[in-house]
Amino acid sequence: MNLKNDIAIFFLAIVCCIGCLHEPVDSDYYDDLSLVKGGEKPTPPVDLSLTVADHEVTLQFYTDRLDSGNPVTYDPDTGTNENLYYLVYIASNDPAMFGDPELYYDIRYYLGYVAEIDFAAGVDPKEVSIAIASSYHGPLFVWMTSHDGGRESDHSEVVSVVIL
Amino acid sequence: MNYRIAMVLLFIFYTPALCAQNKPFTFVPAEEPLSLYKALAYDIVPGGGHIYTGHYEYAAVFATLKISGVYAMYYYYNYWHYRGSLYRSAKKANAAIDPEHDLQFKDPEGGYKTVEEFRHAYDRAAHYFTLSVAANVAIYVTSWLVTAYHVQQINEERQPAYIGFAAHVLLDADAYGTVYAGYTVKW
Repeated sequence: MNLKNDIAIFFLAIVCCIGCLHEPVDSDYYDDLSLVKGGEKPTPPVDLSLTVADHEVTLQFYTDRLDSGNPVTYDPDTGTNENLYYLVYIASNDPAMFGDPELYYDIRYYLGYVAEIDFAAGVDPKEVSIAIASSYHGPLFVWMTSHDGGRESDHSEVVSVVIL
Repeated sequence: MNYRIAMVLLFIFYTPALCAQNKPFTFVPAEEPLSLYKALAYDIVPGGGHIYTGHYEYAAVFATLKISGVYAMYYYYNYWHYRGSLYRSAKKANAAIDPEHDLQFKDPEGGYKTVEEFRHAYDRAAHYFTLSVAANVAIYVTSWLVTAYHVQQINEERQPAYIGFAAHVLLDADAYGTVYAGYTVKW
């Protein structure tokens, strides 16, 4: 009889435990950055500049210049920029006219990325070449962000050039 | 004593008493029929209706199904609320931490999800709960139908075959002095 009672209590305990597995979480549960992929967001590349030569645009940017002991572009979670990717966005219209700031990070303006490890360590400025279709004539607006595999930084300043 | 006289006397004394009481007399004993409403009411308790009709193997099967079904409903109700709380918390945190980006939050069930993916998981949980409710309804309806069928079967077997009551007694004699006696029996 005792054994039967023990078995019944055991199964009831399992049932209660499984039910309690899914207790609703508090509304501030995800305010903890350790639960966010990437933790703190990195800082973007700085001092972007564009030069044009025969429908080939060269984008220059800085990431390794030191600022208060850290590289100017870095991931606060690691203190370095070795794990960062640099995303390039391009548009033919001025992003300052975007109604929604999220459009700065929209896939339709995303051109591609390079990784910090693609460049020689500590060398600035870094350069990226962008080939523009020869049929295109008009303004180009370029900006960048950095990405640590989890979070994307704020966008850099926007630079522009006119393709004649 | 002549046996005919004895029979007549017995008949004369017995029949009026029977007629006066006007009670039914049963030639084939019949059991009380089962109540369908009682059976259906008992069947709210897992296996209750089937125990009432004496079908213990059905009782075991439906009791297991019903207990599992109710537990599934309880489980998915909790799960639905749980996924809802994760979705709302992620949505609030994304708006507070970085509203311009879709952040990925650690899902306690593994991996990372954006707010939109949390919303999909919340919707899926709602579907699971709805399905568990539908499954419970199906199990209960099936159980009730089987119980009703068993009650009908049992009651058909318990139909009284020869129950009637004496309403009129006829005594007569022919020219040779032979006495006839008979009942008018109503069914």
